[in-house]
Amino acid sequence: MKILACYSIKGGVGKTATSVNLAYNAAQAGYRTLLIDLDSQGASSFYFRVRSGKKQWGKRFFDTYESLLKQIKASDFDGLDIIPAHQSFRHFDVFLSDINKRQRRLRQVLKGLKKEYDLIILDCPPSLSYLSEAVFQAADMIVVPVIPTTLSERTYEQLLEFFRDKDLPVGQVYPFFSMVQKQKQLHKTTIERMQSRYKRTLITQVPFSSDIEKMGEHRTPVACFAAKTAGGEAYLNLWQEIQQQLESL
Amino acid sequence: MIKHSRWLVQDSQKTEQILEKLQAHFTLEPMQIQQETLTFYDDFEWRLWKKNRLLASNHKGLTFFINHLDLNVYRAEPVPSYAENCVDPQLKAYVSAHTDIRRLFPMADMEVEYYQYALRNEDLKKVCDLNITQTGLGAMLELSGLRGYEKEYREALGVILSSEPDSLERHIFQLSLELLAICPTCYSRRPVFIMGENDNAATALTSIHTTLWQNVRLNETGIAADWDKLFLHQYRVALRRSRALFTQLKQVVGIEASQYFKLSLGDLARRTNTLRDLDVYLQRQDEYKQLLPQQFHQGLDELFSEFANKRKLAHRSLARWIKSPAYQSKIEEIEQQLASLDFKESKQALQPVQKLAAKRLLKSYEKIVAQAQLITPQSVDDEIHDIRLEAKKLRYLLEFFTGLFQEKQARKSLKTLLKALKKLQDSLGDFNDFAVQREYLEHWISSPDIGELENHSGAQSSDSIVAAVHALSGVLFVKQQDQRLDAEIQLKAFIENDMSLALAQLYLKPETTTLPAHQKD
Ligand SMILES: Nc1ncnc2c1ncn2[C@@H]1O[C@H](COP(=O)(O)OP(=O)(O)OP(=O)(O)O)[C@@H](O)[C@H]1O
Ligand SMILES: [Mg+2]
Repeated sequence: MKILACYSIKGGVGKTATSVNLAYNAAQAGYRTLLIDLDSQGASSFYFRVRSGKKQWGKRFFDTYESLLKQIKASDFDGLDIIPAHQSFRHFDVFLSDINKRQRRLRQVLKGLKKEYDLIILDCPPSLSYLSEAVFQAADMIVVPVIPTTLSERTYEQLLEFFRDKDLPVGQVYPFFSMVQKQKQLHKTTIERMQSRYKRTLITQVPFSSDIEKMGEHRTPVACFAAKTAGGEAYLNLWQEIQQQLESL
Repeated sequence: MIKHSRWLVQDSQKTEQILEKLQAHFTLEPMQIQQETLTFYDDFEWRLWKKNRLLASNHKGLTFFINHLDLNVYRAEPVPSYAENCVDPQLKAYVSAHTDIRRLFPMADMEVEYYQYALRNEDLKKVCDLNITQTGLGAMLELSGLRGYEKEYREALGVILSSEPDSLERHIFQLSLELLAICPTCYSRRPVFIMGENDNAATALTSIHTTLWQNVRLNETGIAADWDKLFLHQYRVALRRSRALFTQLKQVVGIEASQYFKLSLGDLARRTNTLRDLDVYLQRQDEYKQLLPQQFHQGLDELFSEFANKRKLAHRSLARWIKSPAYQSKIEEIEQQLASLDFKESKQALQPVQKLAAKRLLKSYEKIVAQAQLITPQSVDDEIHDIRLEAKKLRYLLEFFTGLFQEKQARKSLKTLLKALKKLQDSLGDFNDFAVQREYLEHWISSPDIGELENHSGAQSSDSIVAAVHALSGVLFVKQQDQRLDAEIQLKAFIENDMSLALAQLYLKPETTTLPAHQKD
């Protein structure tokens, strides 16, 4: 079982769009997949029309995998299950203030699911927090959507610094370009510069696409209503590139 | 964790009613509606059907395998022909577990409609799947809940149950096929011989040979068409059993008739020897390869391609024979003889069959034991082969007559005997087999046949065949030696558990009232 995190310090860069579509494509490719919506905003859960129960179960999230099992809901698609976000996830940092918990707890709990799933995808909230530290410790691969602008590039640099500071496995971080607008000169030059600077940059670029935007109306992965569009195909390609990487780990 | 239930609803209005009721609780979204003709397949012996399995194809790549109530779907499959032609490994395993090498035949067609619905909640999230399979018989409703939506599942369940659907013990396809008056053949490779313990020997013999003869005849078409190799095998088995019946119950039918059947049935079987031998050897390719080092593999391949060529010829010739007027008239002659069997001449014919059977069983058993007791490591192989033949006779007797003994103790004894006998026969059979194989292979390379076969290998390839056969013969010889030791062990084991008393008990009917009759005997 592999754990894949979709993460960025910056908000609104396409983490959720990426998590949702990767999860869908992975399941279609035969991976028994679990998408965990760690962001209390619940955007991933929304796309899959899944709601969490009323119980404040966030504080039990890191206890045992059995407590996670109870929260799993099937999506509408074969091989894809979801743990929807809950309000109480806002307090994750309180539960993770103990450094030991941060370092191993999440990975341990998730490993308990290895009989049932081949792949776990974590949709993370923006910001650097105890939770993100726990995610970095747990994940086998961290994909970071980057909108190719100077500002995003600097945020990405910050993330790498954080990894080095905390002695985290920086080699597991893979940036890729999201919401790319080819006609913009700034995008072009940023892409070229980052590609030569960061060797692990994934080749697939997800274009800015109105079809991806429309996922909010359809409340399904983009492939379900616009598979053959630039946006739909980009996520399929991105999945295949990541799949190769995961398999080689 | 995921719940699943099925029901049968025969009244189509009721199905509509259930759908309407569900609509009050959920959004019912039709996902797929499909209509097609399914063809169901089985082998000659209907072994899928008999085990509550069904195999169906829609002729467009979809194949279904149904095990009792569970249905599996396989995509991109060819129309079923043989288990080994299935593409999906799981399907192949399922089908071959029941039909092994047998040809699959279409046995029935059926019109089927499928309706797939998603039950959705107020977010339009799917919470249950509802599948409806409609046949001429009615509709099979299948409700399955999605993980995490147990409450919704229970709600839907309640709605459906309130319409009181029938429960379903078997798949609707099976029930519908029964409705289509599907009638499996009564053919069985191991037929049960119908007779009562009070029948006389003549009646019992008639019942047995009639059944066996049916099996002979039922396999003819399959042999001529070469549908699969079991037609020939079972044809031969039926002939052999029948022949054994007439020779072993010589006293019942009379010497002359016994001799007639021994010869004519033997002759029919003999005509098939060449083809059957080749069938058997052709199956051994992998086994032989494992026995020999790489350097002989080419020779083996050439040998097997000769076998394959020869088989084609042998089949052609046998098919011709079976379709010939000569065969037809031979069959008619035998059937006439069977019909005109006259038991009046024989004293034994009017005896109760049960008594006769018990006597024969005991005698046959005692003969084996007597011969087995004489076997020492110094005995020649032929003595062991003789016991093998005796064991075969006993086996036939058991096959014919076990059904006559319904009393508990008798059944138990016969079961024990059969088990011990099987073990012995396996060992003796293997021992004999190694010798037969060596003889066959060596004969193959020394017979002038080799040159006549149309294979593009010249003198050179013959050399490599000869080398391979010699090597193989050596290996088989060693195996035969080992097997001889095993045979001796098995013989010892067989006589150790003395069954003669138990078999003598078969004379006694369970009711004490018959005891005086026996004592008078
Ligand atoms: N490739 C794209 N083209 C156009 N719009 C996109 C694309 N990817 C995402 N969006 C839109 O941008 C918005 C933000 O995307 P998304 O929610 O995936 O980002 P995020 O990083 O998860 O945000 P947050 O940090 O708030 O969790 C959404 O409205 C989404 O529909
Ligand atoms: Mg998000």
